[in-house]
Amino acid sequence: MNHSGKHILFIGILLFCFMLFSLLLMSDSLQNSERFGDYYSGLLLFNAVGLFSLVILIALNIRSLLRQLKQRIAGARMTVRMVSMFVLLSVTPVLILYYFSLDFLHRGIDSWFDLRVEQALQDSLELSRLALDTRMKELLRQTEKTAEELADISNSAMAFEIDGYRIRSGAEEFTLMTRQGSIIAASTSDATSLVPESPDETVLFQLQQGSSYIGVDLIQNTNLSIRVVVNIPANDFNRAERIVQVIFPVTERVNELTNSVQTAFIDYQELSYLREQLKISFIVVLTLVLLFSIFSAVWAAFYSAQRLAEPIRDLAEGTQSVAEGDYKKRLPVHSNDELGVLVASFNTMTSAIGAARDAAKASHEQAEAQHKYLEAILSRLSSGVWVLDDAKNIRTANIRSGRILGIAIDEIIGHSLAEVGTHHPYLKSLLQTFSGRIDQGISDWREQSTLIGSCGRQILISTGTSLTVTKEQAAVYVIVFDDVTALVQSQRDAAWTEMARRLAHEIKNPLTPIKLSADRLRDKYLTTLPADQARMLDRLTTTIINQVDTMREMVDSFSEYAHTPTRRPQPLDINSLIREILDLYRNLDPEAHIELALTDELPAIKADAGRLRQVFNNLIRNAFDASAIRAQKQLAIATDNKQVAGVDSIEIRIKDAGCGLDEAIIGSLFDPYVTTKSDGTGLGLPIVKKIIEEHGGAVWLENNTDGKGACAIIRLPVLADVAMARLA
Amino acid sequence: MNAVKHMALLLLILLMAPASAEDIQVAYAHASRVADAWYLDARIDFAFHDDVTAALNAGVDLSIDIQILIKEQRTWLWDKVIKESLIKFKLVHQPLANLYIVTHVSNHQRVQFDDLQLALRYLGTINHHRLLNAAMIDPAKDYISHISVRLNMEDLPPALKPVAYLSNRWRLNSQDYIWHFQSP
Repeated sequence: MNHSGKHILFIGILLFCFMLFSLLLMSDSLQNSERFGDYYSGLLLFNAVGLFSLVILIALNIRSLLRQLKQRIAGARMTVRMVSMFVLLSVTPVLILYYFSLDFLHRGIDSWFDLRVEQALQDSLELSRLALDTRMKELLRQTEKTAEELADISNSAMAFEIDGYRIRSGAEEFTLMTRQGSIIAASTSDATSLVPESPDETVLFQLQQGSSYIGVDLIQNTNLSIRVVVNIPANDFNRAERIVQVIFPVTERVNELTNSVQTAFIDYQELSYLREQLKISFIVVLTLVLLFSIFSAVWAAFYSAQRLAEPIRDLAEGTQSVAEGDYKKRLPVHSNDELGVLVASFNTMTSAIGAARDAAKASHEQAEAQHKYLEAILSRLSSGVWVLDDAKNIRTANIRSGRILGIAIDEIIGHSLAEVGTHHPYLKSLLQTFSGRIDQGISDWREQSTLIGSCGRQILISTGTSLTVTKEQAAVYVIVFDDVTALVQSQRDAAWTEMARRLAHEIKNPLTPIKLSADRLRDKYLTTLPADQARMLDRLTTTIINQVDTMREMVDSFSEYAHTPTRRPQPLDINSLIREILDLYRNLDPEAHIELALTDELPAIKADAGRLRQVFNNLIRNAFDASAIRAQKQLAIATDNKQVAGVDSIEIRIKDAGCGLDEAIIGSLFDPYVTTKSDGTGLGLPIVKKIIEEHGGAVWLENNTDGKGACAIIRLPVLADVAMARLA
Repeated sequence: MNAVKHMALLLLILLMAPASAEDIQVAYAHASRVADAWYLDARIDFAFHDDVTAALNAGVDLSIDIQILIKEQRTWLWDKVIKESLIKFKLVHQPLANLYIVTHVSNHQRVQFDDLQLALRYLGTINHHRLLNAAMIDPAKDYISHISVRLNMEDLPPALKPVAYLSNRWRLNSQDYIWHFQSP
């Protein structure tokens, strides 16, 4: 409990005690207690103020609770329920008690009063009056008789006689005075009384009217006295009008009885008069007690409910903090009960979670560092690396892999191989290879693939392996691939160079002495031999010389095939190049019909114009040769802009009107020494293929769909500068 | 439910009861200097409501307070009270002799009357009541005197106090009677 809570509790208990004490005093004061009667109004006011304070406290609590409900603070609804329950449980019996108390109060107060008792008291009082009246009448007669005796006594003689009269009459005080109230002579039994009590004006007036006066006197002391005042008859000696006042005491017993009767009567009468007021006062006190009880119960209900809800609210706030990631929050433990144990357990739990979180964070940071370290290594690898999960989703891909495949790695991470293949169709064959190997369950594999994509024709060497980190964790697959295009190309170049060197050494070098020898034989024996032998010699030497020339040409062609000149790629307009080459062929055969369908908006590509000129020369010459079977040679050359496998390419189609190609050899025509022409070296198309591949493109042959002739198709990718540089 | 009805009815009656501004009225008051002292002569008219009379006859003692204030009038400051007197009387009814007894609380002097009106007339007559020494009055200054009379409700029985506080019939207060103190 915090300090303000303790203060509120202290103030509440103090207020409760004060109000309870004041209510007890009020109740006591209603019993006619002289001690507290004077404070009744103050107590009433104090209780009203106390109740008002309680009302304010409750109102503040209600306002606070409503605010908590509006703000959806945890524990507010529970507080409402608990307060409602407490109030219901406490107020209901108090109200029932109040109802019956009121009933008992009415019945109890009414039972105090009884008509018979009242009548008896009235009768007692009347009896007392009658007893006094009888005595008073006797004393009046006695005094009147004494007054007649006094008529004969002069005023001066009275001073000597008056004590005797007082003693004989048994009076307390005996006074002779004029009718105007002037004292002539007086005698009293009370030595302390210096001046006798004079009758008031009404008594004197009554005597002046000739009547005597007799009455009960309460003036002298608390005991009753009987005052008798009578006129003294006038005679010859005393003309002056005189009166005598005699005060007789009442016996002590009579005094006691009359006092008792009178006190009882007054008390009863007052009580009877105040009956309704008394009821109201008791009802007021009872109502104050009721309100005090209810308000105290309500306030206590609020206090208790809030105290009960406090740890739950703390727990809710703590849970919220934990949900927000704050594991350092510690809840105050207010008590040692179950809720206190729960809060302490929560603190322990958050401490443990906090420690675990810190450990996890440290571990995560370590893993992150390792990941970054690995990434740094991977990014600097010359190979592309992919890590796939069991569902063939790419979890990791290094930068190099994106560069090799010409894709952004951010677009593929988290996607499956199938999804990547959908977005990058030119990778489909490669990805299907990966997928197939994974599906086959081969733990380690190696594969060479050819890829024609944005980077042109690429040869990739891929190796894959599956890794199982833990028993629970699914297997992951690591695929490493390298772009060996340049390597293969250089190996091929080296092989052909070596072959050319060997041909030059082994074949080309003996050709010259062979040819020279044949020439010498021809020159020496052609004229010396008989004609028939000379013709034979001429035919044979000519054959030798021609074959040697043929072999020399073949070796030259082969040498040319093997030779890899330095490429000089530069922006090139394919259409212009084709038109330029066709102009040459039109001059050679003006009758030939060449149909051109060149697309104007071809993108410029970077290529070696000389090498491509060689390609188009070979293919167009082949087309002319194939069309030679017809009277008029017919060619159709078309260029087009194609999007193939997501890569912008230029497609060139060179169509002839020949007899077409045998489907059995159409796939191997680009291999060296394969030709359909009788005089062909079988190296033209391989050189074409070599040059096109040098430009990252592809070339193939197919028969025309109309059954007339074949078509050579070249597809040159519009390569990026980087790829072009690599190819160069 | 009876209690609630009683309380509601009583409160209604009490709140709707007419005001009794004329229950106690100071008819006149005058101070005069005799020798070295100032003396008060005043007449107060009492007209109790029947409820008050009935309570008196039923044995409820009534306390009457007569308060007298003598103030020195000052121009720039509040008036200064130089003398405050309180004359307290107690009026009771004796059912045995059917007498009304007025007791002067300060000296316990008791005066009895057969009739309530006589008792009230006695209560309301102030003759030659010594107020203060003449030396306390500076002839160069102005003085005013207040006299007010009220029924002291705190002396009523506790059960009657709530009703008395709430009811106009029991709120017996005279208005302040103010007169200038004049040197002869």
